[in-house]
Amino acid sequence: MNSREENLVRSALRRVDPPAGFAERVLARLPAEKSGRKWYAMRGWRLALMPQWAPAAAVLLIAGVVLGSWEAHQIRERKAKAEQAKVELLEALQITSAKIQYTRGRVFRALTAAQNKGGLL
Amino acid sequence: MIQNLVSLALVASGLCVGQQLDLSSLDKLAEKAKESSVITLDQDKIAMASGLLDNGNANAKEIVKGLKGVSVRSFEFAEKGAYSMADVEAIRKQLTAPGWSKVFEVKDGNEMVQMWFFSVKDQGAMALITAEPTELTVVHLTGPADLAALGKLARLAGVSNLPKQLTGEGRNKDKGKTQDDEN
Amino acid sequence: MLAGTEQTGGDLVRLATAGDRDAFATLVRMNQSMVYSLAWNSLRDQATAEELAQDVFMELYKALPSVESPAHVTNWLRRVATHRCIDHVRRERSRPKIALEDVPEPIADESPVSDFLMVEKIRGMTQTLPARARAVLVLRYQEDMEPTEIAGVLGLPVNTVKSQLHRALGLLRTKLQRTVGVEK
Repeated sequence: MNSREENLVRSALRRVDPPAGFAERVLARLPAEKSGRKWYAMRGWRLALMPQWAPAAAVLLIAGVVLGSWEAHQIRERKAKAEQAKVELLEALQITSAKIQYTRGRVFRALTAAQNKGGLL
Repeated sequence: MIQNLVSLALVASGLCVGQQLDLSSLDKLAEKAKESSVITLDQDKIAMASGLLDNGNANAKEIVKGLKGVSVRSFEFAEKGAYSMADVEAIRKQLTAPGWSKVFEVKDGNEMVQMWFFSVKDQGAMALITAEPTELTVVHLTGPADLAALGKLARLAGVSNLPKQLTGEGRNKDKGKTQDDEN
Repeated sequence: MLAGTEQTGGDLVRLATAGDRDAFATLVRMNQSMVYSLAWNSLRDQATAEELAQDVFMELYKALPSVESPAHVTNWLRRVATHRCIDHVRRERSRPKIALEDVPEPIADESPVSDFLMVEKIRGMTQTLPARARAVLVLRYQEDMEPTEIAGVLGLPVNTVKSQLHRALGLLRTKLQRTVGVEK
């Protein structure tokens, strides 16, 4: 197999990315985590030592995390839509080129048939 | 005078939308098909998709430059008779709108192929209908008038000698030679 | 994941084994393209490829105590994914979706524009190969593996791999040379 043919095969079988969110879907299938008691396992004396601004800071932090998560979600949504559009576009191009080729074959057959009947110069 | 202006406006507006085709009447065939592709991509989606095309899809990226819309309805059925010519007629009727012209048609028994082209000012479109006993495909591309992308697609499939208005490329006048031979 | 600390590869596997989901997620992300591509190039069906790839990572999760390093994880995944693909292809007892003789030949055209269609045709032709030959071809050209490495993954003698590769390429070559034309 010459180098151009090998490059074509390599191109045909190159790695591709899985659909967006693949890793998340894998993680979603994992069994539930065993350790459930985390943040709320703080003892009372630890809570008492927290500074006064801690609750406000916590609210801001949570708001930031939520906003960040929302933005990340939006970004993931957009990327997923773009990935879907890419898949559809490539499929559309493949179908189109295949049908143009089919069309060529049909036109050629029709022309040949007409020529054989003496219908064309 | 006013009536003429109104008529002109109606015709002009019709021409602006004339390149559009509504393929949704075919969507019901997906239920009967063993395999189907129902794809509608507008300019935004094409741009989104194009942004993700990497070097491995360089040809695809080149082809879609300038494309404003891609619609494909392609159905493969297990048996003959799953669709009727009335289904095809619903699309073909739209192609009688001003601006559309049939490039060619081939009928052979129960198979039919039609290619249509739309060109008004800077608007262009191509419609390809292939009807086989167990397969029906309609492809609709919209873009600029010369639709250079169609020319690229045609070369992709080895189809040469399309009229210049379709390919936006020069056509070799030497007998027997095609654009491909020159490259 | 331990914030603010640099992790060695061994730490990553150790943490994942201990139940750290972030560490496992990192292992997934490091290898998802390879695993998914093995499935995709073998099966050419997105939903099936994703399902198979997910199953492989679920197997990895259960097998974590037996793997030692990220490199070991990658080799493990490659081996398991390939065998899963072979099993899946063999289970599909119906006739191939595309018979090799039915793959329409592109018109002979050496212009670069034809590469797009050629690549698609090769993907279609790959689907007509028997399961093991398909796996050999995918490992060779997707993963750039040598026959000795492929033999290790598949548990086959090297000569068997070489003849499988030779046969698969021969089938493709017959079609390609008719369509690519004479190389200048």
